[in-house]
Amino acid sequence: MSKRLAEGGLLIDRNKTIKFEFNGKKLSGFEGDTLASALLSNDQVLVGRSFKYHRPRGIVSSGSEEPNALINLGEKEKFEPNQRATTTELFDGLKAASQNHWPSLNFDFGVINNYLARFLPAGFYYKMFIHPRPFWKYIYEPFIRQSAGLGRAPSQKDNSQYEHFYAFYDLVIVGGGIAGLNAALTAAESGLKILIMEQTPEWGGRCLVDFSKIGDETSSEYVSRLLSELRKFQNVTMRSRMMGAGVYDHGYILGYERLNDHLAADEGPRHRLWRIRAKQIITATGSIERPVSFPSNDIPGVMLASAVRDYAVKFGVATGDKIAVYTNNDDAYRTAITLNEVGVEVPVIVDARMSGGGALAERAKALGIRVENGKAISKVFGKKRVEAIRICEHKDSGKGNEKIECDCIAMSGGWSPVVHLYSHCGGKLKWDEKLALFKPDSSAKPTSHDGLPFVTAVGSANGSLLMHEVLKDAWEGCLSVIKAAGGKVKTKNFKVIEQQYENSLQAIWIAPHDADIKKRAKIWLDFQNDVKINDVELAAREGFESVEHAKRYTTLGMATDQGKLSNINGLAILSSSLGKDIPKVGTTTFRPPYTPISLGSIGGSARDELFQPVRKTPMHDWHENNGAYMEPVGQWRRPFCYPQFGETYAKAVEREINQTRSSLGLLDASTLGKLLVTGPDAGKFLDMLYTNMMSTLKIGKCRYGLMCSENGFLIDDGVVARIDEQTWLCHTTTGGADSIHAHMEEWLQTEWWDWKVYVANVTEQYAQIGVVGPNARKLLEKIGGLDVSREALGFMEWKDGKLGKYDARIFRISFSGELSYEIAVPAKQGMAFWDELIEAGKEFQVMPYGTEALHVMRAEKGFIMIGDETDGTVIPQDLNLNWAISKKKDDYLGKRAQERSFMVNPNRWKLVGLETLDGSVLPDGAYATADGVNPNGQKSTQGRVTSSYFSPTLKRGIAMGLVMNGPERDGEIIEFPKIDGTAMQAKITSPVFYDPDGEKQNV
Amino acid sequence: MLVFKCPYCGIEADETELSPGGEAHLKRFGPGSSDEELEGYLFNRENPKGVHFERWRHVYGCGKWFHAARCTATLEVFGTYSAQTFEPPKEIIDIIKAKRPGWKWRNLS
Amino acid sequence: MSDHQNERVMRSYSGYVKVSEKTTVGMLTVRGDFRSSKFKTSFTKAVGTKLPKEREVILARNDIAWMSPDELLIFCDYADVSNLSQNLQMELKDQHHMLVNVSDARALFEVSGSGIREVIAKLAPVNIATLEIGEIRRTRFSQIAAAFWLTSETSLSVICFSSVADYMFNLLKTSSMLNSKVGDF
Repeated sequence: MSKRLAEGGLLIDRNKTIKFEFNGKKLSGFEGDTLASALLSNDQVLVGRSFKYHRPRGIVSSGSEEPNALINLGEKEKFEPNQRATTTELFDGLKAASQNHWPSLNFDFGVINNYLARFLPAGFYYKMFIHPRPFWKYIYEPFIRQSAGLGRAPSQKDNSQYEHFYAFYDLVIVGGGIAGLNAALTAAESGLKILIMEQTPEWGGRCLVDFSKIGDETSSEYVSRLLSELRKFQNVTMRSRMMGAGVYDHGYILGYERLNDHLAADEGPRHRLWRIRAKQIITATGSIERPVSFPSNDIPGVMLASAVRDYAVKFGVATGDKIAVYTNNDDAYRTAITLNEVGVEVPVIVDARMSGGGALAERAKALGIRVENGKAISKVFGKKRVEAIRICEHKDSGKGNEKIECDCIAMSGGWSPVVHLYSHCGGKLKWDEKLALFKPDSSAKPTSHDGLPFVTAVGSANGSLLMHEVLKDAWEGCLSVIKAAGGKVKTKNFKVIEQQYENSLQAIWIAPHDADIKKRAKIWLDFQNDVKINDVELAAREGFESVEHAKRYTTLGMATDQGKLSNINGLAILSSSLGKDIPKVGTTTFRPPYTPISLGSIGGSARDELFQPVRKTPMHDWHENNGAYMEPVGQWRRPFCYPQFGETYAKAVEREINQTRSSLGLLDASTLGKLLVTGPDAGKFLDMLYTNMMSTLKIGKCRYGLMCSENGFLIDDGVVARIDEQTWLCHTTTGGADSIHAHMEEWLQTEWWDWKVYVANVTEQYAQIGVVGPNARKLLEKIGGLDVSREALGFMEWKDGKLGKYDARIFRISFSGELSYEIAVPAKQGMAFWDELIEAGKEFQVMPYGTEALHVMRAEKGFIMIGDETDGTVIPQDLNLNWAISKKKDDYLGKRAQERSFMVNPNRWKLVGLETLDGSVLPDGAYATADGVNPNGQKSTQGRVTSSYFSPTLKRGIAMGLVMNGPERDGEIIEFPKIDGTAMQAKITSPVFYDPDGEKQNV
Repeated sequence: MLVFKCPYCGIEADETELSPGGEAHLKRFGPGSSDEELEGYLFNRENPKGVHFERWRHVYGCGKWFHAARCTATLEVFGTYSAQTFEPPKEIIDIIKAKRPGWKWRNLS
Repeated sequence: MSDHQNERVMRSYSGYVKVSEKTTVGMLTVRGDFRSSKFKTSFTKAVGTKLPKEREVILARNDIAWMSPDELLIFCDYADVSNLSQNLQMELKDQHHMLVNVSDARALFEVSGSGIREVIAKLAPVNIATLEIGEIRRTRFSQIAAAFWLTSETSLSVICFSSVADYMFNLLKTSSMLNSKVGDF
C-alpha cells in the first residue's frame, strides 16, 4: 500500500495536521503536502477515470505534467474542475472529488467503453458519425456532447478577485531550480533589473531530491545560500507560485501568479496575471521524465521514477510497499537508492540496457538491490492497482515467465526538456540522438523587434541533463544574455562541480522490443485520452503522415496536459511506423499557456461594473431614478423609454410619441457627436468630407450633411453649424463621434497635412437636450432670456446666449418633424437645466422620451438612420438623397467611387415607404421576393425592410425599405414571406408618412 | 503583441495603445481617374512575406498617425517614421537593405 | 495639482493609496504650431510661462501639459478658463490655432500614497518605474483612454473623459484595495 513513512519529508511539517475531504471521505495530511501526496499517504492511489475508456487512473507524476489526477476542487462559488492534484497545495477544509465516472470512482458504468475498445479505434468518431448526414444534429451530437468532458462545469459565479499587472524587466528568468537561480545570481551582479519566477512554492527544483551534496554543501544549504545571496539584490524580484504561461512577440511574457490557491480563504486577489515586457528571457524550465511504453503501463501504481522519489523525499510518502524500478537510463537508480535508504523494498531494477548503468547502478547493487540488465516488463498484473509484473528479455516478443510481486512501478524512459516557452514564439528545436530528446537549437532562437534572439534556454531545459552540465550551461547561457540585455558581465570564474559518471541512455520506444499486436494494443501513450501504440500505428497506416494530423486523428497529446508525457513517445512510434527519422517527423506546435490558466486571471478586474466602460451623460442618474428602461448604444446607456405604472415598453413609447406630437417632449441628446473644426482651410476640408457644400454655409445657419467613405458608401450624417468665419460644429451620430473624429484626423494627418485645420471632439463638453413639440417655444419663452421666435430663430438656425441662467447654444433643428430646439449647455449645467425644463414644462405635461420614440418619429417623417437604412453597402443616391450631394464640387470623399458602374446601375435598390395592406407591422429585415430563382437556387429577392415600427400617430404599421427601382413603383404591392411560411403584402409608398410638407416644424 | 516607438511623442507604445491602418504610401485617386487606378487605390494591396510599410495610429496616446517598416514574417521593426511623407526615408531604406538583401516592395528596392 | 480655488472633492476612496476626484477644475485645450517662434512668444505673453517640452507637464499654479506635438492642456480654476482663453485669443488672433474649453468634458482624479506607481501598473501598459515626475503619459487605463503624470513621488493626477468618470473611479478603487499590494516597487 501507499503510505506515510515514519519519518522524513523535506516540505512537510508533521506537527501541523491538515484535514481535507476526497469524494466525501474525511482524510488528513500535513502542512506542506500537495493534494496528491496527501492522497498517496492515505493509500488513495485510484484518483480518476480516463476520458475515452473510463479506465482506472492513478497519480503518475508529482508536477504540472500530471495527466490523470484531475479533480473537481472546491464548492459553490469556489468550485473549479480539472485541477491537478499534484500542483494543488493542501489547506484546511479542502474538498476534492474525482471526475469522469458514474456512479462512483470505484464502480464506473462508462468502463463499458473499455470492453468495446477494439470497436473504438483512432478516428472512430470521424468514421462512425459521418453517415447518415441528418443523424449528426439530432442523434450523434447530443450523444457525443453527453459523454464528452471531464470535470463538471461550475454552476455558480466565481466570487474571487483577479487582476493584471504590467511589468518591465531587462531579464526575466522562468524556473527557480539551480539553473535559474545561478543564472539570476550571475545576472544580478550586472545590475540588470531581473524577475525570476518559479511555478511551485519552493525554490531549488529537482536538486533537493536528486542530490544530497552539491560541491561541499548539502543541496539544502546550497539552495538556501543562493536564495539569501539573491535577496540582497535590490534589482532582483523573486516570485514563487508564479508560472511562465506564454512567450509572445517583442519580449512579451505572461506570468501567472497564484496568490491564494494554497489558502483556505481569499485575501485579496486570487490570481494575478503579470503582463511583462522583457528585453531578454531565460527559460530554466527543467525537463520532464518520460514514461516507458510497456504493456498495461496505465494501471494505477505505475508512476514516473522521479515522482516516486519526490514523494519519498519531499513528503515522506512511500508510493508502495514493494516498488519495482523500470528504466533505460541511470537517473532512475536514484529512486531505487532513495527507496532503499528510507526502508522501502525494491524487488528489482529492470534496466532495458544490456550494458546496464554506471556508478549509480554499482551503488544500487552494493545496497543489495537486484538489477536485471537487458530486460523488459512484459505484463502487469492487477486492475485498479499494480499487483505484480512479469519480466522478459528486452529483445523479445514478451515470452518469459518470471513473476515479481510489487504494488508500484517506478518507470523512467529518459527526459524531455521543457521547451514550451522557448518554442512559443518561434524558437526551433533539434534532435539529440544520444540523449533521445528535442532541445533548443541555439542557432535558431526566437527573435524580437530588433531581429535579435531574446529567449535562451539553460540547464536541463537546454538538454544539459547532468548536474555539472546544468551549472555550466546556466553560466554560459547567462553571459550572452546579460550582454544582449544591456548589462556588463562582472567576470568571475565559473566554479566547476564534478558529478559521478553516468552511463548513457538507450532509447526504447516500445517494450518488449518485439511486442505483438495484442500487447501493443495495451501499451498506453496518452493516459488521459487513451491513445495506445496501435492507434498511432493505425493513423500512420491510414495516411496521416503529418504529426499535426496524426495528433488530431488519434487525439494524442490533446488532453488537458497537452502531451507533456506522451508527445515524444507517440512521435517516435509515428516515425518508426512511417519509416522516417524522428527529426524528419518533428513535433507538434507548442502553444501557450504552458498549463491551463484561470479564465478569471485573463479577465482580470474586468468584471461586474468594470466589465466594460459604461458612458454616462450628465442626466444618466436622473433617467435611472425615473424608471427609464436603458439600452446600450455603443458604450453609452440611453433611455429606450420611460415606462410608467407597469406599462409595457410599447405602450410607453406610444404615450411618449403622442405627448410629444401633441404638446411637449424632452430628449437627452447629449450622446450625439460634436466635432469642432477650425482653421483657414476648414471650409475646404469639410467640402471634401461632406457630399454637400459646407464652405458656403452662412454663420448662424445649420445644414444637414452626409459623409461617405472613399468607397462611396454612406458612413455618417448630421447637422453642421457654421460658428464663425473659420469654425464649423459638426454633429455626428452617437456611434460616429469617435470614428468620425478619427476619420477627420486621418485625412488631415495623412493626406492633406499642409491644410490648416484643427479638429476637437467636444461631445462631452455639452449636455444637449431636445425640446420637442408644439409647445417647445412656449417652454423656452417661459424660461426666458433668449428670443426664440420664428423670426429671431428660424428653422435650421442657431444662436448663443443665456437661457435662464444657463449658457446655452440653441439649434433650431428637427428630427421628429415637430417644432424642435436642441439646446447645448456645459455638461456640468446639464442636470440643473434638465430639472428646470421638467419643472417648467409641467404645465404642458412635458414628458421625457427615449430612443425608441425618437426612432419611430423620425421614421414617420421618412428620415434615414445610419445603421438602419445604411449597412456599409448603401450610397446616398440609394436613399434619394441626391439633393444633399453637391453638383458644384469637383471632388469629395467617395465621389469617384460613386461613379463606378455598379453604383450607377439603374436597378439598385432604393428607399421607399412600405405600408402593409392590413396595417400590421412588417418584420424588420424581411426580404421581398421576386419571380424566379438566383444562381444558388434560392428564391430571387427584390428588396428588404430597413426600419419597421408601429406608428402611434398613424395607428398602423409603417416601414422603410430598399426596393429595386423602388421610387418608380409607387403603389405597387410586393410580398414579404415570413418565417412561418405565410407572407405579408405591402404597398410601395413615399417614405414620408407624416406631414410631408413640413408644416408642423415650420411654425 | 508588438511595440512601436511613436515618432511624434517618443513613447514606446504597446500594441494595445495603437490601432492599425493598413498599407502605407497609398496614392489617392479621385474624380477623373481611370477604373484601373481607382481599383488599385481602393482594393489592391501588397501582401508581402517580409518587409512591409504600414500605417499605425497612436490612438491611446498622442493621437498621431505614423508609419512603420516591419517584417511580416519575423515581426522585426526596421523603424518608424512620419506619416507626412510620400515614401520611406533613406535611413529606413538603408537599414532594410542591409538586413534584407534583395528585398522589393512596389517600386522600391 | 497645485491648490486651485473652489476645488470640491466629489468622492474618494482609501485603500493602500488614496483616490479622490476633483471637480470644477478648468481645462483649456490649445492647439497651434509649437515650432513657430511667433507662437511661442504669443503663448508666453498670454500665459506667463514657456511652452512645455515633449511630454512635460509644467507643474505650476496653472499646470500645463504637453498632449501632442500640436496640443496642450492648461489647467486652471474653473471660472478662469474664459479669461485665459480670451488672453490667448488676443495674442494668437492672426495665427492658425484652436482654443477649446474642455472643463466639462474631462474628469480629474488625484491618487496619493506610497504605492501609486504600482496601482498604475495594474491598469496601464506603461513602464511606470522609469516615468519621471512631471512627465505626462497618455495611455489606456484598462479599457479607456487616460493621461496621467506624477506630481511627486507619492501623488499623481489622472484625467479621462467625463462620461467614464465612474468607470475610472472604480478602476482606481479596485486596484488600490487593501490586500492587493504587489510589492514590486
